[in-house]
This record gives sequence, C-alpha cells and structure tokens, in this order.
Amino acid sequence: MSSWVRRQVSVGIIFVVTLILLINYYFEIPSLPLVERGITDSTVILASFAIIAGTIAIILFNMKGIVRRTAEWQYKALQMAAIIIFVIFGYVQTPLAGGPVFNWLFQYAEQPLVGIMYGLTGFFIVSACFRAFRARSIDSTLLLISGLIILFLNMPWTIWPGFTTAGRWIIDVESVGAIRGVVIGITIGYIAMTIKTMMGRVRGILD
Amino acid sequence: MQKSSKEGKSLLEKIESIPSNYIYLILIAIILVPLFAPAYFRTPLSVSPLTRQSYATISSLKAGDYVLVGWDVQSTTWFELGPVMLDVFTQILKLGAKAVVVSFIYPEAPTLWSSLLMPDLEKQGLGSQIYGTQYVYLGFVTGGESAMAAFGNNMRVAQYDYQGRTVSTMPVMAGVTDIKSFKLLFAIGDTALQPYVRQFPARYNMTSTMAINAANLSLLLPYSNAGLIRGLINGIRGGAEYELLTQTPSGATAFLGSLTLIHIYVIILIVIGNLIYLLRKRAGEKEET
Repeated sequence: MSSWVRRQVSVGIIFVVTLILLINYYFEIPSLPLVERGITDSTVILASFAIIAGTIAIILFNMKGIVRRTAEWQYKALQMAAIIIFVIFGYVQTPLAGGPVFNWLFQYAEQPLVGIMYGLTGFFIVSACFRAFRARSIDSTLLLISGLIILFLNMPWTIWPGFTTAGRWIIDVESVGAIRGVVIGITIGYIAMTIKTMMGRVRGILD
Repeated sequence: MQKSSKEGKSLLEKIESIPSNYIYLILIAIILVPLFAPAYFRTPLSVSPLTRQSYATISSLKAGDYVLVGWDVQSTTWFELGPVMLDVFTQILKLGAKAVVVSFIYPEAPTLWSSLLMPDLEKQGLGSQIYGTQYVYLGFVTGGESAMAAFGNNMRVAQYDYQGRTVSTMPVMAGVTDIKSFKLLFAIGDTALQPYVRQFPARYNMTSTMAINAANLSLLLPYSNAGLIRGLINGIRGGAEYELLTQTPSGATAFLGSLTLIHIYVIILIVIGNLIYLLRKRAGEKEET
C-alpha cells in the first residue's frame, strides 16, 4: 500500500470516528450510542497494547545503549535490572498487584527514592527564597508581596485575619481568573488541533 | 557600611553568602523536631470553606449509597494525599456507604493501594474484612480520559478487581447497574483530576468532591466556583482540617507543626534576603553620591 493511500486511510478513520463521537454528544440518534460504546471500549484495549509497545520500546532503547556502551550505559543497565526484577516478582506471585516481595520492593526501594527526588525540590525552593526572590522592580515586588500573603494564608496558624481575606481574594479573583483564561485557551487549542487532525493537516502523527 | 574587598566582606555580604548547607540543616531540623515532639508544636488551625463543603458533601451520604472513588495518586503525591485518602475513605465506609474504587491515569495506583493503603485499612478493620461486601477496587483501567469515557458508557470495561477476581459476583456490585447508580464521586490526585471533572460531573451531572495536592489547587478552583465540584480538600493542610472536622487527629495533623514552622522559616528567609538586598543597594547608592 503506498504511503499516500495509508495516509488517506488514517485520515479517513480519524475523521469518521471523531464525527461519530461529536454527533453522539450533541444529538440523540438511535443506535449511535452503541457505536460510540464500541469505539470507547476499543480505546481501552488499544491503550493496553500501547503500554506493551512502550515497554518494548524502552527495553530496546536501553539494550541498544548497553550493547554499544554509550555514555552512562551503566545507568541503562541498572534500569533494565530494575524492570526485570519488578516484572519477575510482580508476575511470579500474583499477576496484577503484586505479592509480598513486590510490595516490599515498592515500599522500601522505589518509594524512598521517589520521596528523595521529590523532597530535593523543597531544599532548592528554600535556598531560592533566600537568594533569588528579590524585589528588584515593581512587578517582582508585587509578585513577592502576593507570594508572602499566600504563604500566610496557607500557614495553619492564622496570625492575622487580614492575610486570610487578602489571600482568598488573590486566589479567588486573580488566580482563578488567570487559570480560567488558560483553560479556555487550551480548550480552543484542542478544538483547533482536532479539526486539523480530522482534515489530515497534522504531519507528525500521520506520517 | 560597605568595606573594600581588601578588608574582607561586610556583615551583610557574609549573611547573604551564607553556605546553603546551613539553610538546609535548619530546614531538616524544623521538619524533624515537630515530628518527634508534636505536643510542643500544636498550632490552632482554621478550617477553610472548601474543606467544610467537602465534609458536608461526604457527611450527607446515607447507608447503602454508592460512591465512585477515583484513586489516581502517584508515588510523588502519596506523602501528601495518602493520609487524606485514609481519612475520607474511612469516613465513607463508617457512614455505611458502598464504594467502587478505580484508577484511570497512573498505573502505579494499584501498587500504592495494595502496599501502602490496604495495610492501614486492615488495622482499622476496614480491609479484607469488608472488601467485596462494602467496597471493591477495580484496579487500573488503561486509556486515561478515554477509559473514563468508556467506563461512564459501560462499566463492564472493568470486569476484574485489582487482583484479577471477577467483580460481577461480589455483593457490593449488586446495586450498581450503570454510572447513574453512584450518588457521589470522590476523586483524589493531582493534575489527573481535570479529566474526572470533564467526564463525570460535567457529563452525568454527578455530585463530586475532590482532594488535590496543594500545588495544583488553582487548577480545580474554576470548576469549584462553577458548581461542578462541591468542596476541595487542599493537600496535607486540607487533610488536617478534615481530621479536625471528623475529630480523628491522625497522619495529616501530625505534619501541622512542621508545616507551620516551614512556612515561618520561608517567610523569614524571604524577608531577610530582601532586607539585605535593599540595605546593600542603599549603601551602594550612598557610596556613589
């Protein structure tokens, strides 16, 4: 099959599926909900295969780096060893959520490492508070004052009720207003991207 | 105030260039000390309106009501949201409501459930003792928001629980026919909660309340203001507020002392840093004149 035909078939499938889902959302047409159910059920199956494909891709990528001894290949070997150990102990004892050894590895190996990585950001933030947060201009001064008010708001111990009032105003008016704008902008972007994909004008996905 | 470089650094310069190690050591101390001696660091706590609303929404449940629980916590947010989930889920079960728990976004959620949450539930007699009769965990359903849409259309996409057992024969599923069987959605997670809002409250007009980590609270506030979410629990502080309302001080309350001291410490650092900056700037301007 030529690449042109393959591309047109892909665009056609995307167009028809998206149209069915859109029409079913806005109109009540008999038998269309059944078709929609079939489509949405199949996405669960496809997503499961996507996880398998992603795992195979990671394994191939790491194996290539180990065999060719690329930079930091030792970390790739460590990652492969971790994948193999977790898969073996995950499947040997129970097929899904793992047994005692798997849970032990997760609780005492993986969780502490994740906690360390996440906790390190706290140290950097504290250091930045002392060295980087400076009132150098009007904008940065306003940002600093807002940040301090929010810190007072989030503190469990309320020192002065005025901080609570000011902090709630900053969050409920300024912050929510900005987030609303961002969400609406993202949604408009989604709609534009969907229309482009339906029309076959998105190169990266279909090629 | 400013001395020449030949005479060494001024006091302000010395304070400003203090090694970060000392800042980190003080931070570690103020985190650990309240955990070992919580009695000395009890702080009064005010309850926010969002937490009150969440508590009121959950307290309105009656025995036999069905709750859909979205459990999409990952390893990084477990430390902040784990205590909150324990508090809220315990209250749901103690009210006699029935729960169907499911994960759509993070594949590690079932492992967090089995290795970290279930042991705590077992200690309270809410683990295997009532699993299958009062609640069931359907595990991770692949597909993200598409899986949520599929689940809303047809709950049979999740036919097995997180350990591979068929759920259709479990007593808890007897009263569940479709998505409209659920009186309430309680979802807990981070940025993963936005798809929940689009697929359940917005689509099926389902009453919902959520718990989110503090860094991402702003993402859900527009939905809360629009009435799609009734109540938001804001991270570990929200968890402590919830424990205050349920009068069961536990994991979240234990962190309150550290949380207060950390906030005070950060405020002091910001104020000192800016004072030094302003004083040095003024001294520099005076030298020039």
